[in-house]
Amino acid sequence: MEFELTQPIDGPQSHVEAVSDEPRAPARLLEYKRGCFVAFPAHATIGLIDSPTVVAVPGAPYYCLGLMAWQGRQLPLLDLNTLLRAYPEKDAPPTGHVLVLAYQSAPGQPLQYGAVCAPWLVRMIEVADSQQCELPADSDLWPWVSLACFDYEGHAVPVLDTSRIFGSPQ
Amino acid sequence: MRPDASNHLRRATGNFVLLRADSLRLLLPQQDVGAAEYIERQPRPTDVPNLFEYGEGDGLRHVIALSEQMRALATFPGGRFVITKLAADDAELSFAWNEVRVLIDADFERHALPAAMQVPGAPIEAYVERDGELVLCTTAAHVISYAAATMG
Repeated sequence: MEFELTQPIDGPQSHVEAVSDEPRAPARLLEYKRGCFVAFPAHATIGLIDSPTVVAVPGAPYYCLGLMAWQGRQLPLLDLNTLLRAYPEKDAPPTGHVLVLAYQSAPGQPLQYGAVCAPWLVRMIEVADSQQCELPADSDLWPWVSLACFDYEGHAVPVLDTSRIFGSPQ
Repeated sequence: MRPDASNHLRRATGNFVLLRADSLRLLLPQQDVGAAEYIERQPRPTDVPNLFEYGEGDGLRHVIALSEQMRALATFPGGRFVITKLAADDAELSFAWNEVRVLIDADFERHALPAAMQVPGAPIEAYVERDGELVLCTTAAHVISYAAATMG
């Protein structure tokens, strides 16, 4: 089952209500691990799919669960928690929902698509410049995969660059 | 993770063999695959971990059963009733499959793996779709070396 993400899932939420005149940008918040969040630019999030069939590909990076069919394409499915920790979680929840994301490998190139596991919360929020903060220190990859970072309810939330996470492994 | 837009299409034409080990479906050039042999009894374990043997005397075969991750299994699974010999350069090993199908004059759209899944030296470089199923393109050399790396 697929849910298109043209509308906010839980309705827009703001963490900067006290600064009501400050411009805000929409972002899709993903709880990729209990209590750990990343965000994506809202325009990069395409759909939420429930329990897709995933075909494992031997030799693929350890954080890549395989290929999943979506609208006539085969998309790579990545587990962000495994990517960021550099090893798989022993008691990771089974693949449930996955979030389909769009990216461009370079400006002017056609859109490509990939997917990430969405085991917990996915919702739309609004973010203001005043929420900017430092990246978390729990993964060496944050500077490489992040476009920015903001504070959300006391959590540092990196905004991920989809072209980086779906680019060739280094 | 360097961006790479190499998810291009190419055609794969000619004679191939489709090999299935549970959910793992592999497409190999026909010349990489020896004749299929049906087995009537479960192969026996050997002293080498993850390696089994079948037959007697001149007909003795050393056999590997692959997982869906293309690793050699420690326990011989049910349903693997066909073995084929895979040959590459001077390496030769037999593998057990659920299904072996020869595809003559086949013509597939060959899709490169998405950039995020491309690892130099990995055994799978591309896939095709056949009857709604995903089939992974590889060679006997890749299957042998990848599986052998998981044997004792």
